[in-house]
Amino acid sequence: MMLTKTHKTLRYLVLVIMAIIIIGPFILGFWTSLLPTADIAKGTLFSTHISFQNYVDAVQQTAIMRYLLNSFVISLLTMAAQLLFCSLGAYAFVFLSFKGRDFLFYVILATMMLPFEAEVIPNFATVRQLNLLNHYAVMVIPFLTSAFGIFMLRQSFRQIPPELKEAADVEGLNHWQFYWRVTLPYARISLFTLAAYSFLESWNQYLWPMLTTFSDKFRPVQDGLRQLQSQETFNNWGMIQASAVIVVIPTLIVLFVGQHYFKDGLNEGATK
Amino acid sequence: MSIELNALGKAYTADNWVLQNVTAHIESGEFFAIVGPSGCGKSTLLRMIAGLIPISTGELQIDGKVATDLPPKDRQLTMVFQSYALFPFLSVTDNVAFGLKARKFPAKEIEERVTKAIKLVNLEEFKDRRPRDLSGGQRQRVALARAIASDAKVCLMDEPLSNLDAQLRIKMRTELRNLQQELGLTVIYVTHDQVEAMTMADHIMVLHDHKIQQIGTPLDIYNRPANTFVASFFGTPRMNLLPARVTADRELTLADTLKLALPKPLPVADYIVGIRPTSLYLLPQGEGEPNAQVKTVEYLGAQILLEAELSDGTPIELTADPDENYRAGDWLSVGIDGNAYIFDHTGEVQFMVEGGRQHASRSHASAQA
Amino acid sequence: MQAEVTPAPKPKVDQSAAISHKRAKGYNLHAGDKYYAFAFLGPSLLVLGTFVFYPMLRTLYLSLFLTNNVGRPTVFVGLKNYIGLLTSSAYQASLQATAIYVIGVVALTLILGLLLAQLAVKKLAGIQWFRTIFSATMGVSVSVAAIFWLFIFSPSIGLFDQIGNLLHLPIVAWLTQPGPAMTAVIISTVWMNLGFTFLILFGALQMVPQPLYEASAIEGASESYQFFHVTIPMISPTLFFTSTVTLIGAFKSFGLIDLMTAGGPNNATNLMVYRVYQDAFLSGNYGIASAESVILAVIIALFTLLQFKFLEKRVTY
Repeated sequence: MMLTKTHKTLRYLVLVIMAIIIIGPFILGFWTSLLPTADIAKGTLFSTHISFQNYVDAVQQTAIMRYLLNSFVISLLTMAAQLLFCSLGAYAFVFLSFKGRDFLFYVILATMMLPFEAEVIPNFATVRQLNLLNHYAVMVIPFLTSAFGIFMLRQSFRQIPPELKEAADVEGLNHWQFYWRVTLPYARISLFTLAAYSFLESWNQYLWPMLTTFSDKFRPVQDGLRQLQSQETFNNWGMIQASAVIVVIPTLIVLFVGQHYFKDGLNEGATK
Repeated sequence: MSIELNALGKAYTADNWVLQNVTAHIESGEFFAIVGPSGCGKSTLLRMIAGLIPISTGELQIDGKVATDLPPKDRQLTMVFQSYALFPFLSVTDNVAFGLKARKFPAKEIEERVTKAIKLVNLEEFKDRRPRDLSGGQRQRVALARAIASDAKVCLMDEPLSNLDAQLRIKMRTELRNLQQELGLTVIYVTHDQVEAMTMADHIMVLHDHKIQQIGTPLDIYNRPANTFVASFFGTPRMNLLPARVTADRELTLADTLKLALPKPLPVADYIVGIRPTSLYLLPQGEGEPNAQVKTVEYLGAQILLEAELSDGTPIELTADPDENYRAGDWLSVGIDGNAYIFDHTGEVQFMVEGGRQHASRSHASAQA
Repeated sequence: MQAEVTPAPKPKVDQSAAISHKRAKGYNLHAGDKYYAFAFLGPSLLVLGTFVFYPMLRTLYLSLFLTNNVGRPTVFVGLKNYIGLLTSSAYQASLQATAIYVIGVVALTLILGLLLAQLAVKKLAGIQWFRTIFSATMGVSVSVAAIFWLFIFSPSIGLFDQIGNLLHLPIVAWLTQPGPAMTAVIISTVWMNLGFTFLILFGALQMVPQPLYEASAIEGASESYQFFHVTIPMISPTLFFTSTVTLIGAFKSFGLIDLMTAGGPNNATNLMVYRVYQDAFLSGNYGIASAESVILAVIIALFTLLQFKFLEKRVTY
């Protein structure tokens, strides 16, 4: 389309305004993380006392690095488990025939409608009885598989041309071999999407870890930040902002590096 | 409405010309084809005329008025796209009515025009269907109906038939041509298919290498190609282009094998001589001195196409009678039996040697005897 | 082993019919797959059974009882928990607050997301930078978003109060007044949602075939006409998908509320999930909290069903 000069300028103006609104909170958070809390409390945001002291304090005085580590462990375990269990489950729904297959699939589909938030009461009782409270396991075991993941991978596996399965049958591959050598490589984009999705989902868990973890040893970042924020009786804003920045930087990096793949994968999921 | 292209040029970045110095006059009611291989800039030129791509240099006139910088909607033309560009969420009727509704025509007039256009392309039965429920040919007709309904007298077409299967394409050629004449449309038609251009157009513009190679009637283009590109682009099977050099006062020797008598002398230099396969003839097998060897034999039905190598190794194609039983490895005696085009070493045409039956090989005399 | 499920091909079948028959069947499935099915599907079924099916039934069951302080059912009360909830003004207020929050979040997220996507889809120098920025909030987790915005909304030192000061506007106590607190929570949620929504809608816009715009431009459509008569219909499936995802996400909001307002002030932002948490884990009313959970689940299930129905009906263009 042809754009006139004024049209173009206007477009850039709106783009810049929107960009400022979007990254404003990031920049403000980052900037204040560099300022002494005393200056922030006085409201002098244009201070020149810039330092990384808040970061040093956050790392030394709080368990922020431990929280990060906990979150990484929990999210990676959840992601790996979901990739395995969801792909196996999806495989069964596409390539295996057994009694009640369609019925089971609809049951699993139906569970996608049930929000985990509405089931925390019995689940809390369950993990307490299983003696899982305050441990990594309590944040991984309930999420070893996901109905959404099975559904998404099933859609993706169904795109595999029947000729491939026929060729594999002729070659004499059994289901394990076909699953491992053909299905997984073929659906790698969907697997990547599910990996990103399940990692982020787990990383962003808030309510469940808040109910089930009580010590810094196992607490993930989301609840770690909550802990910091509520513990700081004197509102140490500089340090809190520094902690938030420490938490957000790894995900931002992952996002920008993986953006290309992620966008494609998301759209694939969205249009299927 | 006539259209005037006046030294049009397009460059996306400085000095990187996609098109340069395109000048042409398109008569009102004429079917004008723009032909060239992919990447020659033909679609760009069409989009410049449509106003979808800004014109870098030169001037465009539509109906005598300068239109170089007009937005597309004010150029009073319509366009049929290769992909048809139908709106998948609209029925056939609504697709055809799209432009009229956008231009806020009165409802009654929209209905009249749409009904008429749909009738013209024989889609009345399908008018409530969505594009996805139509065949390729039917979608093509919807796109045509949309162009017709808009009442613009200029219609741009960008490879409109290339997504159809071969049989339907041939049928649609005739239909398109008839429709164009019935409605008196000025059509600018972009295609990479030389047969399409030859069979439909009043005039053809040949584009290659970002420049116009030749403009002319189909007959002109076929019989008087301006250069080796045009010569080899038009006609199936393709014209043979053989290296030649002057070997006597009025004689060229082609590929060190065939001799061609000239009506007038040529300066001593290297030349390229173009001869269509149909302008070559073969002495009956076993006669004459062999000068070419068959490599492959293709049966085309009424004819066979022989791919052969002249004795110096230059490939050459020629046609023969299917009754003759040629096989790979057979030796042939080839002569010239039709028009030969003399091009200079840059490919520009010099003149044409009208074809009498002149067997120009060394065995000429003995064959005649 | 009975290997063939497809019937043996009859002789003299029209070839095209034979092919379509084979296609319709898809993969050849074998009857001896039970062992595999058990191994492949077992783990998932075990986990879903324990942490999705059982708790669903258990929640339903609990919602019909009064409970003691560790969540064991004591007195069967039938639907009294539900009746009590639906007639209590506090719960009605919570439902109302949730509705305002959800509508505000969905509307603003979609409008702004679409605006960003529409801006970013046109080719301009440097547009890649804007695309990256617009998708940035996708990398922000709920507590980071809450902390950033808490500071922006915080009294006197926060950004809004400082700007207000500069312009001599009346000071707004953002998080301690009901109306502004709701506004603040909505703004923060929308900001957090924008990255994801932008990416999805941007992808959808990019997939609209260019010739549709070219054709409509030639046919006389202005840019705004194109937007409403070409762009919106073309991306409507994605718009619907995005709105459902945003809507369900908004119903489930918890972290942002917990960090920014803790349901206050005066229960103005006490959304449904937060009430479940309060009633169950702070007050120990597990029966009532279970009834609240069931109501929440029903609402979310309805919207999810709606989405499935729509996606099912929709055929790819």
